[in-house]
Amino acid sequence: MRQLQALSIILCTVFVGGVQAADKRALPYQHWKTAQQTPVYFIENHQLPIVDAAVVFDAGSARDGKAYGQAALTNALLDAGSKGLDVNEIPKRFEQVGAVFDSSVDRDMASVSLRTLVDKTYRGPAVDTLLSVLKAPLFPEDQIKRVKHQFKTHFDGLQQNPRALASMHFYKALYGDQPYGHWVMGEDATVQKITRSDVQAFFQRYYTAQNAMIVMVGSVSKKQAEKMAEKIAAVLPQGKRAEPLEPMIAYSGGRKWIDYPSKQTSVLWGQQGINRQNPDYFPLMVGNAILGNGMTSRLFKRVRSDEGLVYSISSYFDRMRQPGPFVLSFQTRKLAALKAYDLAKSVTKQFLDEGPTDKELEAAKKNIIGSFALSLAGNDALLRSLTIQAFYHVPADYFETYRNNVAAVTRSQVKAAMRKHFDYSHFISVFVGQPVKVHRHG
Amino acid sequence: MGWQRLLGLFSLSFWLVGAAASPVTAYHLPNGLEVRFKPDHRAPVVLTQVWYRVGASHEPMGLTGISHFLEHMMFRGTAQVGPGEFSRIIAENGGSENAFTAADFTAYYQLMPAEQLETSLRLEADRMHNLILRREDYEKERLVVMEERRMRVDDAPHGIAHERFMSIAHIASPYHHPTIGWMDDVRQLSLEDLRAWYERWYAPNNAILVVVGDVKVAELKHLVQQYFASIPRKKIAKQKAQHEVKPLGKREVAVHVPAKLPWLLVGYNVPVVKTAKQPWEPYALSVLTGLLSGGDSARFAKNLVREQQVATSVDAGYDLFSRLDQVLTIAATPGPGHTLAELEAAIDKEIMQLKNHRVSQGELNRVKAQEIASHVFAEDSLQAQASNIGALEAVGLSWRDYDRFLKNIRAVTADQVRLVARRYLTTKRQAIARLRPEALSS
Repeated sequence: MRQLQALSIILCTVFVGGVQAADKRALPYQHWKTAQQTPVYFIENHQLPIVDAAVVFDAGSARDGKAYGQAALTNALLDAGSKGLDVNEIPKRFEQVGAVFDSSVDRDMASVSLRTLVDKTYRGPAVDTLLSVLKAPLFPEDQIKRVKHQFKTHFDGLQQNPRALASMHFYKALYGDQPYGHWVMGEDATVQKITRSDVQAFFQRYYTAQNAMIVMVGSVSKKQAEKMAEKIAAVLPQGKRAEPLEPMIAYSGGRKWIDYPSKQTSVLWGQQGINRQNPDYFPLMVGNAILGNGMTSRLFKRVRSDEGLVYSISSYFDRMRQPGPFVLSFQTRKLAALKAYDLAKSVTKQFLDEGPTDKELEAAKKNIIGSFALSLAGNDALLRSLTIQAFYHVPADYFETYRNNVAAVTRSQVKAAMRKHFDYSHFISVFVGQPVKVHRHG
Repeated sequence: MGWQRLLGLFSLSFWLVGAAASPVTAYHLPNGLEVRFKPDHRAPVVLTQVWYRVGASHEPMGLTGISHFLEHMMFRGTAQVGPGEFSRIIAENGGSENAFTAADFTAYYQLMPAEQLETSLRLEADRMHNLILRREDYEKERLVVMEERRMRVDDAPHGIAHERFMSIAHIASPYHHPTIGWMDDVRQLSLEDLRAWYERWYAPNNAILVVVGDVKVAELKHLVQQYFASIPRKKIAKQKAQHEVKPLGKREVAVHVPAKLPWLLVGYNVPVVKTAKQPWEPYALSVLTGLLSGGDSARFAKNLVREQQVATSVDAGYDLFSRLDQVLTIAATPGPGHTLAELEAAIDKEIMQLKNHRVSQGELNRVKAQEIASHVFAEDSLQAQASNIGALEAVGLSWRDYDRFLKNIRAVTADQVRLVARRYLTTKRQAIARLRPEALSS
């Protein structure tokens, strides 16, 4: 009983009225390097008794080489068993203390993340288990076999998902054999061939202290954060940073039709876009907001609200380390697909030719600036923004200057940037659906 | 896991219920509008939700999908706010918005900078009683809703299978039909139908306003008075009782659709908090669900996915806070080389285990620890905090029931888990849907 009271007293004094020394920055992070030179980004935030930590590696599917799926498979096997902790013991240790462990991969990054209650009784075991996962994953053969079966099921699942099929074919058409071209999880044929020593080699090469960054948000002190980061970096081999990838040059033009027995036809239309380093970044973000992001966008209004041709339609830039796609996406019933496609194209063409109106520009800027705080609301959101700050080499004041940069965008900048970057007559189109006989007269 | 650690977690739940968790201000206006406010000053944002106590389960045959269709129409303008203006105003003031329809309720929300609370309230109050339903909007939006149905259900093997499953799992219960509506019904919903549905259900005395964020209660009360107080209440027809009938035998349905992967849905008709004769039963059922499926250390993941590999994925879900009796549902994909029959047998075996053997204290503690931790984690999300209030209030429960949930979960014993397994996970109460893939060719 006394222990119970003692704990609740500790909790109360920590969490009642915690006002931080004023750090008025939008993203008030601290930054340092561990003894192993691993960069650490940390936001101290005592409003809730939780801490989120992510260890992010330059180990995304762009690092697969020809062994498509290697990055994803290695990442999926991290918690398949470590020295002293088998595949059943690891989740048990996390979940016993209510901790949430996750691992994920995209084209650029591979990461492991942990969300835990901050009290040492729970944080201790949660972090210890995370360290075990990172330190010496065993990649047992039986687990490799089992996880490969999981991947096979995933690939089968893709075959019955028209939107995923469209995305897969679009990236393939855009990048071909270059590192961004293939599906993040790889392909059945290539995944089946990956061996245990391949996985070990990938892990040893990319899951290193020099190739990692640590991102933390939550209710620990700077000292505690330093300690946690040192522990994490210490279990990783020193290693080397991953080499920069060769610049990818995307393909353009062409149309691909994938037959699929669906009531709707899924359409993707686009080209290579930009990354956050591009000098036209802000004019293009504002331009895209007007063209295809949200219920007030031109595409939504014209193709959905005015014509009822679609439920979902949008355009977006996939912002990766190297320029990812700009893509316009929608689905509609088979017989309306080409009509919707023509309309979407003409809306885009008109926008590129004329640029935004003053009213549209002001509204978009107001929205982006006004909603900026939403992207930093909550530990989860802070962690995401901090990861962008850490991984994508944006300037240290990227978040501080974001709103001013948006405010400075002019109509002619938007028009010029979109005309400079978009060559819509050479966009790639991908259709997934039932073929329709089109009789074009004249 | 040691009892000391678990006690520590319970002291944390004490923090949630008592000391430092934000208190909810609850009151109502003379016109019947219920107001719930929870402060969250961590970021300068506010989430406003309006929940109407009408959803798919209020719909008779022939009018299925009308609550959802009306949700779409609520964005099309009022006397004050022209077509598209609602979204434009929200966007320009830095907000994001959406809505959702479920079986028990329809909810609308905006996430705004904190100083824009008035904008949210003004617009929500306006469309609560001033919606204008125009023929041209109705005609376009009906097409949009049909596209949405195609996307979510018709072209999604799991969507179709789940829809067919619901139609046999629920016998007399109005949870039987899909929220998006049967396609025939949606196609034939008239403008007059929509008007009548709006008039019948949209009133302050059938709504709950939930606000979570960085605002002061005095300001909120003043604005609520200003914008909502003068909206007249309506006579809302008393809901007729619609108890689920006693299941008298197993129900089975086969779903043959173009797909690549088989899929299995197994459900058991069970009571909920609002309907249970024994108040502890729904909490025991929640714990049971957690024992089976509450993470990677739970029984399904451990036994079926990792050990036997008869499943690539298997999850169980149960909503104890719904308005009417529910179906505890297990969804599973067989592992490569395993049949649906083998998967069913494996699931049956796990259920038998629960009936025949009392679960260990360690496993119970794990489930409880996860529930407590997830309650704390939910405090990081405005959406979670608001929905945990709104979803309960909308079905006639109290926001307090969310915190009482922890206390009631704590009290669940191993004997109670075995009891509910024996009482409710019986063949007579069972409904099964089996998705059998047909060839995927146009």
